[in-house]
Amino acid sequence: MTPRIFMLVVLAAVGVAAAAVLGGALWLLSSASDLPASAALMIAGAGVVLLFLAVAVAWALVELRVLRPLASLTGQAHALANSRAERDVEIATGHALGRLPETVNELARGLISARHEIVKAMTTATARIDEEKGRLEAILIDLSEGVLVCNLNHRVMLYNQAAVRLLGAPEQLGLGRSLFGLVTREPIQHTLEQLQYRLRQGRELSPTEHGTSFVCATVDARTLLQGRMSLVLDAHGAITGYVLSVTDISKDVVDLAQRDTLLRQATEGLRAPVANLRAAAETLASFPDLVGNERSAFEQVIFNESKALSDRLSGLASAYRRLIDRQWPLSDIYSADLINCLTRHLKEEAGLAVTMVGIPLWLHGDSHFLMLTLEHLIKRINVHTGTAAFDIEPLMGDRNIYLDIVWDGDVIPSSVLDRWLDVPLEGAVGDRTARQVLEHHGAELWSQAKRPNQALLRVPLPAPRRAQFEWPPDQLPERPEFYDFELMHQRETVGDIGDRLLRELEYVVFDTETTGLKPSGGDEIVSIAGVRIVNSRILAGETFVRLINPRRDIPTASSRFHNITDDMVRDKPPIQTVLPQFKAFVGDAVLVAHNAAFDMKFLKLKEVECGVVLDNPVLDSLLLSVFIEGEEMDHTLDGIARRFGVEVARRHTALGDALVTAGIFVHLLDLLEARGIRTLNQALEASEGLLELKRQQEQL
Amino acid sequence: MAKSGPAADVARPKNKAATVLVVDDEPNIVLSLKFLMDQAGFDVRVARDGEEALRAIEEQPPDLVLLDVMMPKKDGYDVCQTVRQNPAWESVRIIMLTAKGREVEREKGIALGADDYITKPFSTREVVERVRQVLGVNPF
Repeated sequence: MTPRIFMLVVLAAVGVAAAAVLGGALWLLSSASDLPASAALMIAGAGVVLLFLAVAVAWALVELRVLRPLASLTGQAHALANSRAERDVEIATGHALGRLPETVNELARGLISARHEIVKAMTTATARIDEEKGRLEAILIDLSEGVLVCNLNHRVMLYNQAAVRLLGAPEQLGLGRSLFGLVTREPIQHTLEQLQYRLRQGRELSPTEHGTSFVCATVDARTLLQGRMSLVLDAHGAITGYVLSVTDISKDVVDLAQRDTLLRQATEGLRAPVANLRAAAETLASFPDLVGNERSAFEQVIFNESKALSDRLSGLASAYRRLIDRQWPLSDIYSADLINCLTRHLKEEAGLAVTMVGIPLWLHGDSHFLMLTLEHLIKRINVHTGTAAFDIEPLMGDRNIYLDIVWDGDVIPSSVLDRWLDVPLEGAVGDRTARQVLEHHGAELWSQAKRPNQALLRVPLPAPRRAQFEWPPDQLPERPEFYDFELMHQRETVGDIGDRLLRELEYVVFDTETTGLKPSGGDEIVSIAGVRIVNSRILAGETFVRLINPRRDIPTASSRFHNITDDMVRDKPPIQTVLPQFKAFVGDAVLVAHNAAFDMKFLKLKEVECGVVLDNPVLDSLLLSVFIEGEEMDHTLDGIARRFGVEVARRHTALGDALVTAGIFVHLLDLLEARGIRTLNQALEASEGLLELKRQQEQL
Repeated sequence: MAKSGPAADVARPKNKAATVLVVDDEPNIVLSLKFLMDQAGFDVRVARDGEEALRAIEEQPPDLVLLDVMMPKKDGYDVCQTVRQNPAWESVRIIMLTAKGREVEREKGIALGADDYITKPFSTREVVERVRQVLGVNPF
């Protein structure tokens, strides 16, 4: 009800009440006295007129002095509150609102000045942020170090051009993409855990402790990088991500060479004392008859100068050592990173085959020079013995980690080894030799026989600062075979990728061959193969195929099935070597397999000892096929392939089966879309529905 | 890896993991061997010197002892000899670990009753394989 109507109603009520009172009074008056009815009516009429006039005057006063000023004030206050207007409210004089307009004006002025302050603060803050952003960008562009900012899911949030250059994989580097498409996982994860641990300890971190250095390799194993990680904390001290700075180690070597030159120039200063010495010695030689004070003066010169010389030399030597030590801090290196890089270099440069065997171990060293030294040694062994194939296995000793380079052939005599150590390393600036590198590591190498006609070169290296193995947070729970109900909860963990269209995702369709059907009962993988699907196309050229030494016998029944025998896998690498390679091949792709829970169970059991985590989303072509065609159909690979018209070749080999599965999966993508299943989450949901059904069946 | 791991050999009830006692004075080695044995499906206990090892064996004889030779207090040969002198511990298998690679050391260990002998530095993969072999856990 507006004030005006409210006033009208009040006045009308007052008028009716007054008329009633008046009427009542007249009636009493006329019945009590003898006043004639006409006179009473006249009085009543006059009363009504007077009453009406009084109401009209009251109405006019209220309207002019209260209602209109109030409406004007309301309108202006509303305008002030909802616009940027900056003026006082103005009310015509003669109102009856008391101090209300002044009070409203005071409020309005307060509001305006508060607005001004906010705008000012915002402008300053924006300018400061812009300035900081500009400064940060300038720093990032100028830096020769690659800088990457990642969140806790290891997704890249920010990077600079140097990072693109150093990591050498522009197609893999993008905002929101996984860091592990670029560099190896182990060192990054370990370093992050170390920093998180320090923070959890609640210790006040000194500036040097905020970051910690590490060595990692690019996933293509081309480059070893020296990196430094610092945590990014929010206002409450919680970790929101981390900053990585990486340098190509070979670039530092150039800097070191410059320092080397400086040092050499410093040694030029040795000339003066040497000249003095020489002059004194020559004088003594030329004048053998010098005696007494004259002779002792020259002897004194020789004594003083040679002392000065030796002091200077030892000073330089220790300065040099300090320089080297500062420039070349040793770090923990994962043997698999080092050996993978070595394998790649030697294959490309010298056509030599180096195979990593055994379980990878951590060691402590200067990765760049270690790699150059190992390369140098293997090339020399190749020239000396003619062998082109080598195995490298890390061994564990009391206080050292040993790298055994093994080849078929003879032991290298120690005199020959000795000569190799003094040749300057190829690619090392400053003429550094293998001997210097080994001394820097406190190491001394030797060659010995491993078994008849097989020799090894053993390189002892410092043990890592970190623990060699890390315990998994929890032991894997026992799960039912083949249907892994854990896979029912994938949608909670897949994250943003869940909303992406199935058509647009990248997949790796894979298959394993095993020694048997019991992953928890001692059966092992003997072969794994995968093929990539991008944009719904099978990239037949992008495949991954490996035979694996299962470190146990392959039952004849299994061999009959997949045709892989003990002999075929004897010289093959173990799962500890192959699984990290497979993970690198998979990257962030969605994994697809037929009866995926079976294959995944085998892989998951190996995660800890292989040092990899396969946390990719998983789709099962068997479950999806059941979803599309119903349970009563034949859902074996052969059955589905026949119905879909997919060509079947080399069944029961890992690659053959992976290719058939891929062919089926591409058809399934079309059929799923026709059923309205467009995103990954929808496909996972459909699979989960079937798994739930299975679970209920099992419980019955 | 699952705890239900290795198929039990005849002497043990089915599904019961074999116990391995790791004896070494080098903390790095002890921790690593403990991890590797656990991951291979064995129940693991550790001792830091010879005396501690004997106390642990008395308390509960393990199926196998991974025994370092060079240790303070009581060396590995002593421990091996003591174990072999007690008929109650006949079934305890012993693998000696030593940094000495000389043939004579190997002979001494075997003569004192060790079942096998691994020289340091060792291949972590080989240690696991040898333990399985000696225990007759085939071959997983």
